[in-house]
Amino acid sequence: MAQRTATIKTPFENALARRRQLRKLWLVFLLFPAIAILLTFVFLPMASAILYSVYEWDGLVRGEFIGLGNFQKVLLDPRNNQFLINAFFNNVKVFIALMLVQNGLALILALFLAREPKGYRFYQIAFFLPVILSTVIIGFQWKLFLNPIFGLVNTLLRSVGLGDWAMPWLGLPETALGAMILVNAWHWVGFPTLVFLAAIHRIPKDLIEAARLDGASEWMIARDIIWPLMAPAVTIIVVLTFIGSFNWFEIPYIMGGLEGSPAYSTDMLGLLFYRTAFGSVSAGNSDFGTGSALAVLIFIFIFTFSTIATRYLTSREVELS
Amino acid sequence: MNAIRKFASMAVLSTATFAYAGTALAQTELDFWSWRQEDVKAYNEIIAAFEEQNPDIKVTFTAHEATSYNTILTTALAGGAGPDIMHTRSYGSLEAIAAPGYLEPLDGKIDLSALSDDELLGTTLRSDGHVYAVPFASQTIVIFYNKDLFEQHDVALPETWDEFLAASQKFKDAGVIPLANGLADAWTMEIMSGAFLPNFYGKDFFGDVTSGATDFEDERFVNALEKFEALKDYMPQGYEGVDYATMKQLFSAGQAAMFVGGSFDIPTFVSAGVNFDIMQGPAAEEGGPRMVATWLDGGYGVNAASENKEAALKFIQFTATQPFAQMLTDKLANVPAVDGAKISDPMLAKVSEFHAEATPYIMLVAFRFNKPTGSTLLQNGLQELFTDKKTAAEVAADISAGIKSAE
Repeated sequence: MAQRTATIKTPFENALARRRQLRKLWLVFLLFPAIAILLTFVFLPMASAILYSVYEWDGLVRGEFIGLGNFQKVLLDPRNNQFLINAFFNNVKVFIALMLVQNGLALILALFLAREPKGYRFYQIAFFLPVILSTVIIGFQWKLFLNPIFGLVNTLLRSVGLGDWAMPWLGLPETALGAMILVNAWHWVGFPTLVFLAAIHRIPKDLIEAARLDGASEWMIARDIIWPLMAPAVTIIVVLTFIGSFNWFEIPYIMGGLEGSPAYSTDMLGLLFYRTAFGSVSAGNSDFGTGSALAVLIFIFIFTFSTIATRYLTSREVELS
Repeated sequence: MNAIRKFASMAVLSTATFAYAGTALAQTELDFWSWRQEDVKAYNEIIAAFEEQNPDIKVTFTAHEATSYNTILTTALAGGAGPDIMHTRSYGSLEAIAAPGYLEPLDGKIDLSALSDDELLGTTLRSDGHVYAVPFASQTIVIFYNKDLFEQHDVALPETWDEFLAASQKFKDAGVIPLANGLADAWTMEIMSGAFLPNFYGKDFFGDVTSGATDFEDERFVNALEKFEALKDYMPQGYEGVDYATMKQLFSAGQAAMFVGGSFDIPTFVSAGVNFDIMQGPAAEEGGPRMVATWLDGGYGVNAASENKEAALKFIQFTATQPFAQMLTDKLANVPAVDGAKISDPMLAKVSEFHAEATPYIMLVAFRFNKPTGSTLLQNGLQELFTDKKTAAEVAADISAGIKSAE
């Protein structure tokens, strides 16, 4: 085919065609590693999780096909769904709290930095610094800080005369989850701050100057100009926080253990999945069927809601013309 | 998703390890897997003693990472690539590999006469009554106490519950933490309960509750929980947030007078240089029994699909003999399951003496087969009890309902 067409083409066209072909090959070559990695480590495990979830499992041995039996077990059996419901609402709490505490603070910090106060480069780096630290290190570090006896937090509280406030933060069902959320916010606040700050910087300065000349207060500028114009950044942060909250695993695992200690008050969907699928010394043997069904459900939930959220939030974004 | 990925890479890794299994010269080569990474040297010495007697067999000992050992082992066995001989866990965890038929039944093939029925219970499959592994060592729950602190504050060793509370109060008044234990790591609460509950619920409760004659709402159990709850006054300030590491630190640093733990904690305090000794939990009343809760740590099993079964069984027979048990206690400071070994370590000898009045560590031994396990129910219940979320009766009712619903 190539030869036949070549006969009716000029040498120049011929060379061009070959170059195009080469380009295509080059593109395929460049895309190949990414696609291979995506297939092997994203789509294949996802497909296998779906496949696993429709079989009965005896530990790691696959048994009979049972259709939606595992899903039924996860969703309808009170022995399982009480944990599912508890963990789900904990994840919801985490999402709401992170939206308010972490992202709210990030917005305030971004507005503060956008005014380029003295030493703002330093603040910018200081706020972002914890983001680059490993979650495992942060988890352990804060676990030590929050230790009721030797911990920094209680020692500080006692030294300033607030001894009554010194508490076993991670040991009480009332405070454990809150403490972990604050640690997470401390760890991540720099990231939304940076995203918000970049969004604010994208807003033309003359727009804000003009508003100021027209006598708008700082609050009005923030509310009526900056906030609507940074909507794309808000969309990204809301969706990422949503996904992060419902996949939350490392901090609660390190600070509260696999069982969501104390008394399941820090149990998360991620921990529940891990316990169910892989088992633990106390919780019993691994059960891949229900574990996979749970993973599939978590995936469907996150996927659906983040898609809806993205659609909705994007629709309210304003274009700068 | 992440976990599945982890699992997949583990599977690949273990397959790769197994593809490498060598083939024999004139010798039969046996692969022996374990999770005891800290015991490699000792096992190699024990194996050398076996090989001396059996020059035609060569055993290679491989220790895997402890927390993922069950997963690594079951994955390999499911893929038909397991070792010839393996360290198995006991009770519920043994079922995970024995029930699907990965292990060779040993009764009739191995002389198990040097093992007691209690020990064999840990490696017997409940559904068919066959023994699938030779039990190797037991663990025991004891109370560690700091001898210096007892002497310094002139506190007599408590023998009864009342004396225990009085001694604790005396330490508390003197500004010493009586008990190092905390709530943050739920499993340590189950351990702690093992030192106190049995002496309250008595000798017969285990048999009654496992046979179904009674349940966990039994007055004996509720009463035991009620008594046990009193200890929260003697745990460290903020005990709700005290984890295993902090507990050990408090006891090692001489800040706490007592520590409830397992015989597996002995080496920690020996190396920390604490002047300590051990005792059993207090008797409920004067003259009452002072039982210690014990359980079997694991056993040695043979892969049912092994091509070298004869040689593997020979090695397993060796693990059921007195000379092996002697090496196990001498080299690894274990209380061996096999009878007849002379225990030279004074602390272990004491543990072994305590076994005269032993009781099964209830949730691990009898209620870790189904989900929810008795252990998660008890651990969670104790956290609720000790944080005043629930009363002893409510906790007992939850445990009872959970056990009944388990499948």
